[in-house]
Amino acid sequence: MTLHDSPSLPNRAEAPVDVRSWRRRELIEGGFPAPLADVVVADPRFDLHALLQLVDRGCSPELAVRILAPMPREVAP
Amino acid sequence: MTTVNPTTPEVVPPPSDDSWLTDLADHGPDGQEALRRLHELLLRATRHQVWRLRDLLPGAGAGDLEDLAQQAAGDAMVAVLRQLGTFEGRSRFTTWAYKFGVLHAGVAVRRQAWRHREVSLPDTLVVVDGAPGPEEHSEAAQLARALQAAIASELTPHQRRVVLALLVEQVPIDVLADRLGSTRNALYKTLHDARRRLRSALSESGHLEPRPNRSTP
Repeated sequence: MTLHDSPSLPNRAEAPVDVRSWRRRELIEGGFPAPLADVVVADPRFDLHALLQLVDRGCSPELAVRILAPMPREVAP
Repeated sequence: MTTVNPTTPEVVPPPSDDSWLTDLADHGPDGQEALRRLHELLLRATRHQVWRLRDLLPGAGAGDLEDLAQQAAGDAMVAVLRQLGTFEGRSRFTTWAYKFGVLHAGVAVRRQAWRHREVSLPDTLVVVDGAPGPEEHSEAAQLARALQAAIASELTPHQRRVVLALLVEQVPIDVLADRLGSTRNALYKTLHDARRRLRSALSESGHLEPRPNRSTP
């Protein structure tokens, strides 16, 4: 067994595709419509935990995304 | 036994905490030197911790472990410099900083160990042995069933999935926080709230002794 698929360690600025799929699946299971889940997973700055907590408290997914949308001027890590 | 004369010219006293703080804030050569020394210290911490946790990475070679240690030392360096203002002098500066190295190395190793593993967020607690057991186990079986019911009824859906992932599936909290794009503190808070709800439900159903409310003013 080898540790890495690639010779170097992962660049954390880019979430691997499988993590994006995982995040999408969790959002859909949390009640997010697929198109909205796609919007969220396209931006790794979204905090899924906070989004799903808002939805748990009765907030609609659309409003949760508006509330927690990353600031436009923020630079992605 | 030999003793070292503190006035011996070869003996260089370690920098004091004050000089660490002053030098790290310096933009000149003293600052560069302090940064180099800090990185050296953090690298010692991360190498030590990565080596200690190497069993979590069975396929990792020496080069991989060194990469992880270097990466963690870099992360720890950023964290130390960001939190420099919070250093209160309750321990030596080097002790305080060393802990950042240990923490970041642990996070890096666990993240790497879980990188290609499925992180399961189950929705239901499955009690493996739900059948009535011998007399001496019946109380434990009842408690398990009560806990299963409380998890299903007392927790919100996301709370339930986080609790089961962390407590049953044993997903490391920093791995889950990373996947969710959240923080460990946010997950700790969720865990704390969920535990309080579960404890309250189990107390009400007579399965746990009610705990005195320590937060009563």
